[in-house]
Amino acid sequence: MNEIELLREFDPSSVDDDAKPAARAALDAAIEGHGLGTVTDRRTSTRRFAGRALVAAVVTTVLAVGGVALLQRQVDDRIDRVGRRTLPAGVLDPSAVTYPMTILVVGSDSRAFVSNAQDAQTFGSAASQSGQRADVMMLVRLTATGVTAVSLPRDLLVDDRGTPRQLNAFFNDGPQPLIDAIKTDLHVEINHYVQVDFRSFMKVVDAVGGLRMNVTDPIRDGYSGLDVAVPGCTRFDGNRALAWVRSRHLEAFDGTRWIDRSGAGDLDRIQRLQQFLQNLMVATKARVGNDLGSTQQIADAVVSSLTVDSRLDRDTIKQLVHRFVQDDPATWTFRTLSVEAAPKDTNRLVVAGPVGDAMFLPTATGGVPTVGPHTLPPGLGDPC
Amino acid sequence: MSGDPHDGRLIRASLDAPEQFADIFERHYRVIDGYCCRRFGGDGHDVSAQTFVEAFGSRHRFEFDRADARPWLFGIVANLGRRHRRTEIRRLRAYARVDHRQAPEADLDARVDAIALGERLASALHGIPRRDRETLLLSAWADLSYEQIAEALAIPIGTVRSRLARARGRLRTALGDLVEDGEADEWAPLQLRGDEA
Repeated sequence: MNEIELLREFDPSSVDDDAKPAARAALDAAIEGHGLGTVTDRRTSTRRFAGRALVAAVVTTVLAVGGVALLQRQVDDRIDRVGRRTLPAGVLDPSAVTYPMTILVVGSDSRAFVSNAQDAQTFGSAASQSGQRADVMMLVRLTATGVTAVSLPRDLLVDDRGTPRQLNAFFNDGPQPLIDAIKTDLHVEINHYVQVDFRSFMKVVDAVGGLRMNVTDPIRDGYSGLDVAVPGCTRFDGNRALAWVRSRHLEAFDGTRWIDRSGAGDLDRIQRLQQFLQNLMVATKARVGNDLGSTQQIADAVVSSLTVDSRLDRDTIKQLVHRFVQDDPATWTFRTLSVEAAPKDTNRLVVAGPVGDAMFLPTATGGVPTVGPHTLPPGLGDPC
Repeated sequence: MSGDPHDGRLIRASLDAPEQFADIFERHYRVIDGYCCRRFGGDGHDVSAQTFVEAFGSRHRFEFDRADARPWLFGIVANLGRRHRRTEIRRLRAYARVDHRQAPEADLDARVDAIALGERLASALHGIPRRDRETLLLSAWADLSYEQIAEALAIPIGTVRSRLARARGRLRTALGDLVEDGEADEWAPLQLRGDEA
């Protein structure tokens, strides 16, 4: 082969997401902006500026209000496609038909999607990983004024009839054993159960045009497929975001070699996930407010990623989506259950602080702050 | 997209009916975006999106008798790309430096060869002056003919030829023993496209 043929074969990038909707939206905005421009061009420059600012303000407001309403309608249209799971009577606490409401959110990795060799290598094949795997477990307490989400580390050991057992192992046989274990060992009543399929959910990231987050060094994780060669403000599409929140073997390049950054087991990953969700809330909010085109995709992605208990009604589902998009992110608190290394197995964790309702309360009134060594390097994952 | 897509007519129509410009986007987005991502990695999507916004803003300058807007769009990419030159260079450097982990099952020899080749290509590319590199990549990656490159960059066709020859020489030197002799003189793919004859 000569040098040109070699060059033709060479592709140093590995960008494989689809940014077309976002690019089209940018063009559409320019085309619409042009329309506004021709109207205001006839005015004097001062008035033109004032006129534009006014038009922009009105348009933004209309879109923001209309955007959320549109999202509601889009979700409503698709709600029959939300997966349903019937749990036996008595597993969930039926008392909360209104706030406060406690929901167990499980980010599952059912591995039903593992269909090609590369995925199988990255995530383990369905054959080698029997059952479902709960990679993310979160207790979400909603009140009228705010939301507190408490992450439960997957390596947490709890009592299973006298024997310590890892919390996420309870999920191998479905949600019921997990819910029972949380009730018994963490003393929290759960009103609803929501299962989120990671892979579908990450389409939300693509629908909002990707997230920009700061990467402080080149990072990689051969297990989750994460690979960011050039540090700096980095665009995370759905695939990259998935590898990011899934990574449990993060490595960073310090200029000469790769060093292990996986930190304290699952706690580091939990922090990255919490940070990611906050970033995503902000981005989704902005997009739904200003880009009607991707609202439909957001609704699609959210709806197709959900499986909920059969008693979670239409209005509540809509309300949950609404709150994720519309709440001020500052009213959402993310924290991690208070834990410490298990005495006999330092790779596992045990409960260290109070459990029950105290885990949702503000720190000042007896609640427990995010606990665990802060393992994220400063700046890593910050929005940029 | 109808039987005889004529970009010039479409762009002229978009002067009065701006929404028509969306067809230009639909026609060319994939090719432009693919090229931008290959060159600018994660920034590629931004560059391609901006290309169409800029193209829309300067559509009155397009020569409406041209049936294909692609060279013009690539010219806009080249302009925007200047702002991303440092990103491009950084990426190529990083590519040449970073340890590329591959699937463990892959044949070891093939892997080592591929990595060595990629690194040398990357380091050769970042050593080529910007204008020459631009010309080279419009040919090798964007698949433009000499005439189309001349149109995209608004330069005489002789300049296209000399830039390509220089860039190609740099590549050959950098790749050294990895390039086979003999067939290197035929640069067959660079012929006129049928639709321009």
